[in-house]
Formats: sequence, C-alpha cells, structure tokens
Amino acid sequence: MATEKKDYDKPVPLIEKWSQPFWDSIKTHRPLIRKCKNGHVNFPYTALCGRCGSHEHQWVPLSGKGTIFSFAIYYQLWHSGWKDDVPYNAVLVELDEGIQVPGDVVGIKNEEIDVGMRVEMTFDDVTPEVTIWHFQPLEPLQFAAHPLGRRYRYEDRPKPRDSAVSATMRGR
Amino acid sequence: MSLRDLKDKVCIVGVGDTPQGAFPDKTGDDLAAEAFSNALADCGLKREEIDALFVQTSWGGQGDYRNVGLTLGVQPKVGGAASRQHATGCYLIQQAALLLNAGMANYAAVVYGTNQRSNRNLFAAAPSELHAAYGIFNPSWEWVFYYRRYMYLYGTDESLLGQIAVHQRKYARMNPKAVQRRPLTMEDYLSSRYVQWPLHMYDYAYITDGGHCFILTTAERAKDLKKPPIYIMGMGTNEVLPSLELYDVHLRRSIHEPSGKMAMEMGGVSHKDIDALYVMESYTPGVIAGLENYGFCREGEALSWIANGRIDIGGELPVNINGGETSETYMVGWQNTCDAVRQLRNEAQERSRQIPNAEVIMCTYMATYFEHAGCLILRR
Repeated sequence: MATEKKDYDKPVPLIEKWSQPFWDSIKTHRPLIRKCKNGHVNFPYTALCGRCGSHEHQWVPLSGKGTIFSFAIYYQLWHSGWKDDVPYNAVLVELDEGIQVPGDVVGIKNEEIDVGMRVEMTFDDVTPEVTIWHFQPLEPLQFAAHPLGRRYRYEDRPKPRDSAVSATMRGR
Repeated sequence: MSLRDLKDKVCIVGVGDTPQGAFPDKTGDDLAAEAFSNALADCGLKREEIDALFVQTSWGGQGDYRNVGLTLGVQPKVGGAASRQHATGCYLIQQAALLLNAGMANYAAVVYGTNQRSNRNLFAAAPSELHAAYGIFNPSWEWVFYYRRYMYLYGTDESLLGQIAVHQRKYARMNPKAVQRRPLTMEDYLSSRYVQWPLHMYDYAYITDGGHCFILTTAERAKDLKKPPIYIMGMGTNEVLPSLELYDVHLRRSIHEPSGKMAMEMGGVSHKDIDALYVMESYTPGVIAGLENYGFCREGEALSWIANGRIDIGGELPVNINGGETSETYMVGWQNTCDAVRQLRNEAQERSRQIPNAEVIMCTYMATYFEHAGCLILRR
C-alpha cells in the first residue's frame, strides 16, 4: 500500500499493555494471536481469558485470512482524515480463527465487495510506531456458500439524485 | 420473590414532555425541568413530594444528577444518573420501579433533557479506537452492518427500510409533536442521499432538542392521583458488556431476545396480547430487530410480515405510530413510552392517531455502543 506516511491524518489504534505483543506482530507483518492454555482465542486482549479466566497463554501465528461478515460504504464524512476518500468502505471480517475484526478492503472497487467474500490481511506501516491491516480479496475470487444463492450488491443500489456528500447530518 | 411478583405493582402516573425541535436558548437541564413541571401537572403531585430522582446522562455531558435535581427543585432521598445509551429510559424506569416496590421511596421522577441539536452534537464517536482507524463512526454503525448482513441472508433490498421510514412519516404527519411532517414517498426515499450505504438519510433519527419525564409510584398510591394509572405489567433487561468479540452475534438477537422474554414472562402475556409496539429504533433497521428479535415474527420475515397494513392503526400490531425517531423526535425511546402511556389513557390528542381499545403496549429499547436491551409492557 502506498500511503503517504508523513501526513497520515486518520486515527490509529490504541496500543495497550495486553495488546502490545499483537501490535508488535502486526508491525512485523507476521501477525500473532493469543491463545489461552485451554485453546480459546483471546481478542481483544485483557489480563485473563474472557472465556475461562485462564491467565496462561501463548502467542501463535494468525492466518490473516477470513470472510467478509458485513460491510458499509461511508458517504458521510465523520472525520477529516477521510476527506479525500468518501465514499469509502469499512468491513467486519470473520477471521478463520473465529474472531471478528474491523478493517477496509483495498485493491478492488467498492462495487465489487460482497458479504461472504474471502479476504486476507495486507499490512500498511502508517506511522513509525503503528502498522495497521487492510484486507484484499483472495485470488482467484472466492465466496463462502450463500444461504439463498441470490445477492443484492452495492452496484444494484438506487442512484440518489443528490449524490453530494454532506459534512454533517443537518440540513435535511 | 420472583420478578412475577412485581407485575402491576408500580405505575406510571404522570408524563410530561416539551415541544421538540431546536431551542438554542435552553440547556438540556432546562428542558428536563420543563418536562418535569408538565409531568407534575399531569399527575397532580407537588414538587416536594418527589423523593426519588433518576436522570439520563445525555450525550454532550448534560444530565448531571446534582445539577438536574437543583434545576428541578427536588431533594431526592435516592436515585442517580446513568447511561445505557439508547436504552437508558427503560433502564431508569426499571430502576425506579424496583426501588418504589421495595418501599425505599414514594414517588419517583425519571427525566431526560437534551439540547443535542442546538449544541451541534455530531455523533461522530467511534465504538473503539480500532474501529476509528477504519472510519467506523456514529451510533448507527452496528445497524448499518446489521442490515447489510440481513440483506445478504434474506435477499431484501433498501426498500424494506424505505417502507419503515415512509410508515413512520405517515404517522408523524398526523402527530403535532413530530418534527418531520413533510410528505415522504418511497420515491423520495430511494432517491435521497446515502449516509452509510445501505442506509439513506431518512433511515436516521432526526436530531432534536427536547425533554421528557415520567412520574412513577406504587399501584396503591396511584389510586389517589389525577389520571388513571398505567401499570408496569412486565419489564425485562439484558446487557452484554462491549467487547470486540461481541460483534459475531447473529443479527444481535442474543442481545435483544432475552429482554423481551423476561418482560413477557413477568407480565404473563404472549405476543397476541400486545395491542401495539413501540421500537426505540434511531435507525430504521431497529424496527426489523424489534419485530424479529422480540419474537413478533420469525427472523427474515419482517418484509412480508409488515405488508397489508399489519403495523398500521387498525392492523394487528400498530408499530411506532408516533412517527419513530426518524420522524417524531430523537429522544431515545422516551417519546415512545410517553406516547404509549397517552395511547393507553385514550388521550391521543389527534383522534385519528388513537389506537382503539389499546390495553397492552410493549416498548422495546436497544442500545448500540453499550449492548443493552430493555423491554417494558404497559397496561391500562
């Protein structure tokens, strides 16, 4: 990802005591995930396993692969960091390890994103301290089995006659 | 003692509201005080008789317990300020009911006032720093992702949300209290701008200033007051502490469903006993969750279920016939319970909007950042 690092003006994730090893691993582009001694995947990170209370854990490799659970296309500008990006996408991805993480999809048009699409993490060193992930579709495109076999996609949407992006919710 | 013993023990005896809209000269606490005075007049109690006070901490830092108490001229023995985000009204009514039933106080006031429109609250907070990193902002976020997933699972399109927005506007047009009363057609809806696709601007609560107040007491004491008491038949709650792991919940059902079941079990009622439903929606997908997750129809069936006037006055289950938060006012459910009480008293100002013979009404409340769900079942 070619991001202009110097003036990165989007918020960056907050790194805390228990999540430090996770963010360190993201920074090396070889993500790790914490598992407790009973095999539960811990995310987010707190002192104890949220499922069983175990405080013994180890860090194991995270596949970075997952399936798009849902997504949205943001027309509204909530933060100036996205002023050149609207409409931009945001996704929730169910990683194969069974946790859900937010992210965004790069490398394809918003119109091509769909629920059930298989994606994998790609890494972006946005500041000297912090690396974040984006998601890119697995090649060739793959989709989880669809329960109904029909889809309503972003490109099927009605086209608003006023597509201008308003900076606030007011003035309806 | 089980929750069932609480059935019909506590009543809403007074309701008060203010005009809704933009009131730049008033603070949120001023609006709470105005609603409180109106609620006192409604039930005939004196200010000094109120000995319990519950306050919704509102977005933007208003609703400080002490300040509100002093503004209202109340010296409570017990109470507090709390936030369960969109579900606070329900939470506070339940806290007041428990405390009154226990005999800790005699008359409780539950108040909320906000000038969120005039103070230009942009509702731009993110659910977490990680979400903020990807531009996920605004309390609507979960409903946007909810509905996009729903579309995938059940093959619906935006017009389902449009039907809800148009339905609510239709009743707002009959409701003088509603802030949005211009006609809205499906064509207007589909051609309106997106805020976060798949949600259009008409899917969003219309931000307003305003205040609401309820006065509660025990069924025993309620008999001596001005208006017929509205009994709390059932109340239910459920909450899940927010964590990133939470978001794999299936269309948020596991959050909402237990609160409805608890209330129905307490009241000893089933869905067919309920004459009307008010859903604290804030965003139109909430109405789908209100119908499906509270068990009025099966998941994925809302589209066919609401057809043929089923949710209109005269239909099987009138829903949000005050106009909802997209058209009446964004008072996070307080306006719903207020309208429910008036409907049960047969007091709807506009007779065309009165549900004939409404005896039992359910109000559901669903929060987002803080995963709290609440349910009230009221009867006359």
